Parts: sequence; structure tokens; C-alpha cells
Amino acid sequence: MLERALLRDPLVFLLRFAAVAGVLYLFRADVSGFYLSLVTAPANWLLGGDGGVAYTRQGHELSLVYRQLGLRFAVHDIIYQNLLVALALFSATQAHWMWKLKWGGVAILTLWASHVASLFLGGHVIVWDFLWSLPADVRADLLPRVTEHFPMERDWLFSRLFGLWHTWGRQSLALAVWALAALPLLRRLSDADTQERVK
Amino acid sequence: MLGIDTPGIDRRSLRFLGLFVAGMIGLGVLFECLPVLFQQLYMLPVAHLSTALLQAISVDAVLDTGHLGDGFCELAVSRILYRITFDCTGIFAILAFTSLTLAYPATARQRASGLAVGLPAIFVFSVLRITVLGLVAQLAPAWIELFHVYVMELATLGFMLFTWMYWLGQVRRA
Repeated sequence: MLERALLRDPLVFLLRFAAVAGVLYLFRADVSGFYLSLVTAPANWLLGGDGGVAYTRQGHELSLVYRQLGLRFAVHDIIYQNLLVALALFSATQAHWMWKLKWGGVAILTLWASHVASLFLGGHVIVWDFLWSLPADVRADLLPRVTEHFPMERDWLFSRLFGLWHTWGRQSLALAVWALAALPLLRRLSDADTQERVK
Repeated sequence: MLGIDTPGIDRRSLRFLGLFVAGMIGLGVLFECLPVLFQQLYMLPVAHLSTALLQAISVDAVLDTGHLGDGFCELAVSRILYRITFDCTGIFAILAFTSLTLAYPATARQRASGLAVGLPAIFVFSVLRITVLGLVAQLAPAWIELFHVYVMELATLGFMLFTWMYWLGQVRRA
């Protein structure tokens, strides 16, 4: 049986989370263009121009271009969704604004670094995925030019890291930073409850 | 209300984080090693129940489980074909709730009771998630992308944390 008194705080949290997520969605396109510029520049620097590969933006549309191979791939523009999740989580938590600012900053920095890393991995994984999807004769033709810049031995590791990141890593990271930040608050509340009952 | 101070990281928080991450990795490995088990115990029931629910409210929904070996089912609603993967069924919420509950300092009995209440609640929510997507396909197909990629994704996470915080309230009160 649900206890109404225990529902209040979680319900307030849920409503605030929904409201903030809704508001953030309205600014999604604006956030997207700005945020992508913050992640593509360092990702391109990490890729180092290997194989003439670079991420290019047109508004919030992101493409991965392999100039020397004459290939261009559209990249989904939802890489920052866990950023919105993290912002919504920290905004929804009933805590001092300094706490939100401090931990929100930590979350943004952590997720930004993870996005840059995932774009870097994507630069390797996408070309190999494409290569494996080709008929054997076409693949054999393209293989030497691809392996020159994107070694085959990296493909296994990078593909798995990339896959795990997309399935589990993205939301887990946002949740982990929030849980780490919120636990002392939740525990303090627990201690306060205990003291209240002792009185 | 939660506190209003600006807390730092203490040893207990780090321990909680470590256990949470270890739990996620452990469950992730289990999931990757036993996908068929998760398909039979989770994906199929969610897909069947949401299809039944859609049919009960007179939505023309047909489920095809012929692609289960490839890791997905196909749900046809009106002229739209959904590919139901694990992601669509909110499996992340199930694993995250389990990890959060096991990582939080509580007794074994409290953890067991949290899992006994929370996991079925998230399961029911996941059924509703697919049902809502089916309804959107029927009533407002233009909104599918928004609901599929954003609304239901965040709603699932929000509901999972709602359930977890409710359990925390029970643990605190005990």
C-alpha cells in the first residue's frame, strides 16, 4: 500500500524534473547549435585531421566528413540529451542554488568530456561500420586507404567502447554524477528524520 | 525538503558511487551475456502487454515477435511500424534502479522490499511507455519523434527516480 506522506517529496521532484525538462526542450535547438560548437572543435583536434576527417556543423545538423575518402555521414544531433537530463536532475533537486551551480558545473564538464571522447571514437567507428556494410570487392578496394588512417586493430576496441557508451554509458554518467552529489543531501535528511523521531 | 548547504564528497558518498557503478557494470555484463533471458523475462512481456492494452482501447496494433533473435519485436500501429528494442522497453531504468537500491546503505530486507516494489512498478511504467507511443502513432503521428526520443525517455528516468526516492523515504522511516 502506498503511503501518501512518503509520496510528497518524490512527487515534487518528479513534477519539477518534468517542468525543467519541458522548458529545456523548448530551447533545444538553441542549445544544440551552441553546444555542438563546444564539442566538435576539440573532437576535431583529437582526430588530428587523420584521413582528412572532421565534424562539420550547419546549425544543429552535424556531419562527419572524410575528405580523402570522399565520404560524408549525417550524425544524430542528440548527443547532448544526457546533458539535458543532468540539468533537469540538478534543477529539480530541492537544494541551495550554490549547490546546483557547483554540481551542475561538474556535471556539464564531465558530460562535455565524455561527448568529446565519444565523437573521437565515432570518427573511427563510423568509417569501419560503413566499410563492413560494403560488398567484399568494394571493401577490398577501399580497405588500404581506410587502414592507412584508421588501423583495423583499433576497430574492435573502439566499436565496443562506442556501443557500450551508447547503450549504458550516457544516462549512467548523468545519473552517477547526480547520485554522488545528492546522496549527502538525502542522508542528511535521513539523519534529521532520525533526530526528529528521537525528540 | 532536501538540505540547503553546499555539500562536498565524503567517503560514504564515494562508496555509494563505487557500488552503483559496480552494480551497473555487473548488471550490464549479465545483460550482454544473457540477452535471451532478458528478452523472455522482460522484453516479450512488455511488448505483449502493451499490444494487448492498445487492442483493449481499440487501437489497431499487431505484434510480430519473429525478429526476437535479432534483438527486437515489431509493433505495427496504423501505418507505423515500431521496432521495439531493449532501449524502448526502459531496461536502463530497471538496471539503474537495481544498482541504486543495492548501493544505498540499507538492510538486506529493506533492499529486497525496494526491489519487490520498484521493479514491478517500472515494468508497468514500461508497458505504459510503449502503449503511449502506440497511441501517439494512432492519434498524432507527427509527434512520434518527440515522444520516442525525448518525452518517454525522460519520463522513464523521472519515474525510476520517483520510485527510488519513495523507497528512500521508507528506509528513512524504518
